[in-house]
Amino acid sequence: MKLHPLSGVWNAFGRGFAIGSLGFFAGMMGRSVVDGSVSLVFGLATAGFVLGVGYGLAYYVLFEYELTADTFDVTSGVLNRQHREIPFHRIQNIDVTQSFGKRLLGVAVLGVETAGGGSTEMTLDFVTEDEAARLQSAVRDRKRAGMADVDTAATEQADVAGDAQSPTPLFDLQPTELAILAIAFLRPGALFVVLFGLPFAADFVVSLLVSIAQPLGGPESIAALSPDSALVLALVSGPLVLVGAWIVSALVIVVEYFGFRLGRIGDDLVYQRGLIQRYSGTIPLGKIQSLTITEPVLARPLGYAGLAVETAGYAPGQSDGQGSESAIPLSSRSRVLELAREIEPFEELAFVRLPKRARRRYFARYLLAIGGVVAVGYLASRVVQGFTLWYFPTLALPLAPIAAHYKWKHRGYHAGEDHIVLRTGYWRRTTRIVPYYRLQTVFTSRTVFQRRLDLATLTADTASSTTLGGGDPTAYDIDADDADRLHTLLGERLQRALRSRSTE
Amino acid sequence: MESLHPRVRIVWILTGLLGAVVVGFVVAVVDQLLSSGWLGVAGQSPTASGTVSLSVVAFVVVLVCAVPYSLVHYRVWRFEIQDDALYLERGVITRVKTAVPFVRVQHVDTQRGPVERLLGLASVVVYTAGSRGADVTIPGLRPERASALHDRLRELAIESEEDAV
Repeated sequence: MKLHPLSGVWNAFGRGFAIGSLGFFAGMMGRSVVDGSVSLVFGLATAGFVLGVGYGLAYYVLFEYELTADTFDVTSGVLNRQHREIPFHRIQNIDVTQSFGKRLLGVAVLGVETAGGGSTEMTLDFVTEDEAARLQSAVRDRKRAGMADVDTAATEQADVAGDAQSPTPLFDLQPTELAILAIAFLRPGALFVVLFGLPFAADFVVSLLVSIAQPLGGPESIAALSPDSALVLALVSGPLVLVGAWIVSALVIVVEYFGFRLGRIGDDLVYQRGLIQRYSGTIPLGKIQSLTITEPVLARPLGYAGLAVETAGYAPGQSDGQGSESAIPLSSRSRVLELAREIEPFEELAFVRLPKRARRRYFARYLLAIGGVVAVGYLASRVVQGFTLWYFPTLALPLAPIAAHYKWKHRGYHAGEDHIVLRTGYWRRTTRIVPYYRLQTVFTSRTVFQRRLDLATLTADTASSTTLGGGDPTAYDIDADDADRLHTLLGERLQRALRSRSTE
Repeated sequence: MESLHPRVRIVWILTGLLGAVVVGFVVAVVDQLLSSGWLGVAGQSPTASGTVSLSVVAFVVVLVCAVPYSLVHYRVWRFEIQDDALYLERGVITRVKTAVPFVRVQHVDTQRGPVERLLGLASVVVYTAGSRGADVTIPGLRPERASALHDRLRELAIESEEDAV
């Protein structure tokens, strides 16, 4: 099968412009070095463009994909020919992405993920919407058919497959939920957009911040900056920049999650989302490594939470997906728990709190951090003329015990019948639910300070890539003896789970 | 529990020696740059003897730390093949206990670096599909012990046929 004919034109021109502009810049540079004529620039640009278009067209002509009985095959490449076959049962996720332009054309990009590798294993750029949907459901069906061969419950599976084509709706994101989602989840990335992403608006932003900070002791202009007034300016603009980032992040979230919809087809979860760029994906229930329930500080009092599932598909550092897919961006906690239990039936959670000495440890850590900042500030005040506000960070001292308490309060773990559940985080509390049979390596580590306090940190690694919640499932600063017991328990439960699965 | 081969201490001390040489060299370069008024820091004229003594001090400090570190590291390092997992204990500052279930082993490597080859030692590296610590290294093994361990781990991984993800 071939890609959509328009994709040949689209990619030919895309490559043409890319290589053509490369030629243009090469020509400009060459001209300044060897003093050549203008025709060199245009010559190289045109040659690059023709080369790019030719390559793009050749890529289209030579690109073939095919669904065989057991594999998804793609033959591609112009100079380096590549033939790749992915067995259906190894496919983790299939994603369909539509940018705004592609939506107008009614076409979509299809991506196939397996557990290995550093990037998306197969990309069809691009096919018609119908073809993408056909491939998505065809792969799903064949995967199921492949499993049914080994499964004794083949007839039952076939019944499910019969009416499988339209998903059973599980969750639709409501406007209120989208609004709370946008407000409660601050994207850290938005901060960078505000700080560095708007060079053309930077002058305006800086002058705005200076004029706001001036009555409070800030500088009269950036040129008249003194160390003390710079500190005031920083203290005033910090919250304002944060508010700016918040607004940007809220807009991004609305655009990203508008019209979120989750459904179920057989053994797969399917979802769609996006205002401008439509995105749809498949999460195979059988490949889920762990679940993450996220409750940001602003959503907690309202009783809202989000649910994400981690599969082994994506590589760490891959820009989208992050190996973690939202099953429910945000909904009431009970709804989230209900769906989470449908995916992984875990019991009522009763968390084991951290020992009190862990709280003392956090308190000491915050005191040391403040002390360090003050010390550096004091040294700076000796060297830098006019810098006298070095004691400013001590204002944070009363916050240290409060912060330590809340950090302590929101950490805990629950070793259940079939799952280990780990909770951490005040600003964004995450609860990781890891089935024992998904465990990989288990680490227990104790730093010098932890050994002094008889504490340990236990990490239960799974095959899922790095996640939204940040990092691996970890129980921080639990009692050292408990950690040893838990370490042994996890090993035993993994073996028990493997045994019971092989006898099934 | 099994210890590493005692000669692994020499490997670590040699590695520490290399680190000390690098640190001494970096200190010398930075000192020369700073005292020649680089970065606008007001400097005296660079004296060769001052720079040499400073970098020697840095070299000795790193080495003095590295030697006991290597000795303690050796004392702490333990590993064991348990019923269904490879178990390791290690770490000087942060002590880490690791259990790698055999079902999760993807593949096993035997590696021999130049220093290890010189001292007649080898390392075994065990890979899993996990996201963190996807590889676990057992250094300082006699080559025959390393290949025996390698074979044993491979057998155990094959025995447990479950999909490793």
